[in-house]
Amino acid sequence: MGKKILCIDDSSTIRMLVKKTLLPLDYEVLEAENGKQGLEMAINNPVDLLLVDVNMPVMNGFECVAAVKALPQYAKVPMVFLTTESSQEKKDQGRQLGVSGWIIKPFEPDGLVKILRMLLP
Amino acid sequence: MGAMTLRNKKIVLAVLLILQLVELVALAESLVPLGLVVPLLSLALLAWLFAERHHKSLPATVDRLEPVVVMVPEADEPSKSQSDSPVQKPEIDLSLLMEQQVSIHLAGQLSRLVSDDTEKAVMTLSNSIFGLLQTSKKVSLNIEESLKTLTGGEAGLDSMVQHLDTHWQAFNNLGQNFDTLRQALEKDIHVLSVTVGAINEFSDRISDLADQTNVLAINASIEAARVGLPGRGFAVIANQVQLLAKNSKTIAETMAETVRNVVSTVELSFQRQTERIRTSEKLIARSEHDLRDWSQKVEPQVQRVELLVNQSRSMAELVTQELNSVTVSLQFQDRVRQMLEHLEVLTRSAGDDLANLTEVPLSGVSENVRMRAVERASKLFTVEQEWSLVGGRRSNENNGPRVELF
Repeated sequence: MGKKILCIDDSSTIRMLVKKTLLPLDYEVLEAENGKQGLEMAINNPVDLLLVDVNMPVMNGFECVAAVKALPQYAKVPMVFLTTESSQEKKDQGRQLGVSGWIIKPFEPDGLVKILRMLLP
Repeated sequence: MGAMTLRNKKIVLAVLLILQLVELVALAESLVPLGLVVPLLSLALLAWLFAERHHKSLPATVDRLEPVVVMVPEADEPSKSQSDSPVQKPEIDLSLLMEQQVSIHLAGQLSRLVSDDTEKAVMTLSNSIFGLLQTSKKVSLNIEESLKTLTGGEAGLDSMVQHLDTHWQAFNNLGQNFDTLRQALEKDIHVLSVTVGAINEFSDRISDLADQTNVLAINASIEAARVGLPGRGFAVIANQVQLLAKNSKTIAETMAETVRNVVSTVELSFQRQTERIRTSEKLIARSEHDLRDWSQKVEPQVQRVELLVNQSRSMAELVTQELNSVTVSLQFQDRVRQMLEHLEVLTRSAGDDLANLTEVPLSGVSENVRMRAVERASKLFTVEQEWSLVGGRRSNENNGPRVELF
């Protein structure tokens, strides 16, 4: 198996589309349906990149990324927001958290793959 | 209708929000139609009926929703005008409100039904589309591999064309060699012919010399006889010379005959070799022509195969591009599902508000009132699943087989 991606999104459809897009390219995709579950998975299963939604129940994407970034083993792990949010204010908030990228939904598989290949050469 | 209480206004607002969501859902639906229009229309109509019953002057468009929201005070306190005027008890038809309670509940169930169906449809569609993509990629790769195998490798078309070219070149060289050989042979025959001519000339000269010697010997014998006894010894020599001359002539003639025979045999042999060389040259020329012909015939096939490989690759790329747009469409569909989930939450909340207003839980609504709501809602039903929400169709019209030939 290749690089390990953790997709944190409350939409099972989005998670499934991400998985279907990346599996044939030899990425391993782990899934979590909210920030809290994502944080727990990140702690228990070291991954190479996180794809995180912003608006989620239980724990939102910003809180989740902040918590994961605080873990020493994730200090340099790239994280990308995959969200319907497109405002500059939210993007700035994400940039301040130290994420590597911002993809606005709906995403195109090609665009997603391009970004992942840039972040995980 | 009398003045509305704040609670009633909140309910109306909730309904307006539902209507706005329905419009959004319908908008998204127009982007990615998947057969959800009818249930959504049902939802919209149910919600509208509810709103219409409560407030005849409700703004008809969503554009006017925001001012209405702003106008509603945050706190549950009577406005100044209300406090100034004498307190009026709102005239509320409880049974009508309870009927709306059931309708709102049905609307929530409908949105849940549509949401679930949408999710299932998206999942199924995604699986199918990505499955198709994988199959398409595999087919494309197989075609490419097959065509590469056909063209590449030791036994491939490319190699065959190269071999044909190499053999054609070899045959060409062979033909040229044979031509050189034939020319050399013809030259040798000419040299031989000239040499034989010279030998024949020498032979003739020797024969002439022998004749002349013979004549000389005869004359010597005659002269020796005339001398008599003293010339007897000379006569013996003359006889010997005559014999020598005869022998010389015989040898010269035999030599000439032998040379003629040898020349004849060699010439015949040379002619046969020349014929064989010419036949070989013809065969080589034909083979060379055939090889060139095959090479010319195979080469376009190789080009055609290369074209097919490129086309196959382009088609796979096209399918991948199409997948991008399908994936985007699926996400729009997912948005519809999310909005429907929100719609369900809102209707549930509105239903709860109505239950608080009537102080009767949904389970406490009389069968008569429930039936009225069901009757009204079921007039809009066109999809089988909608009927399942109200306990199924009453008539038996749908109990038959799904497909029937009359």
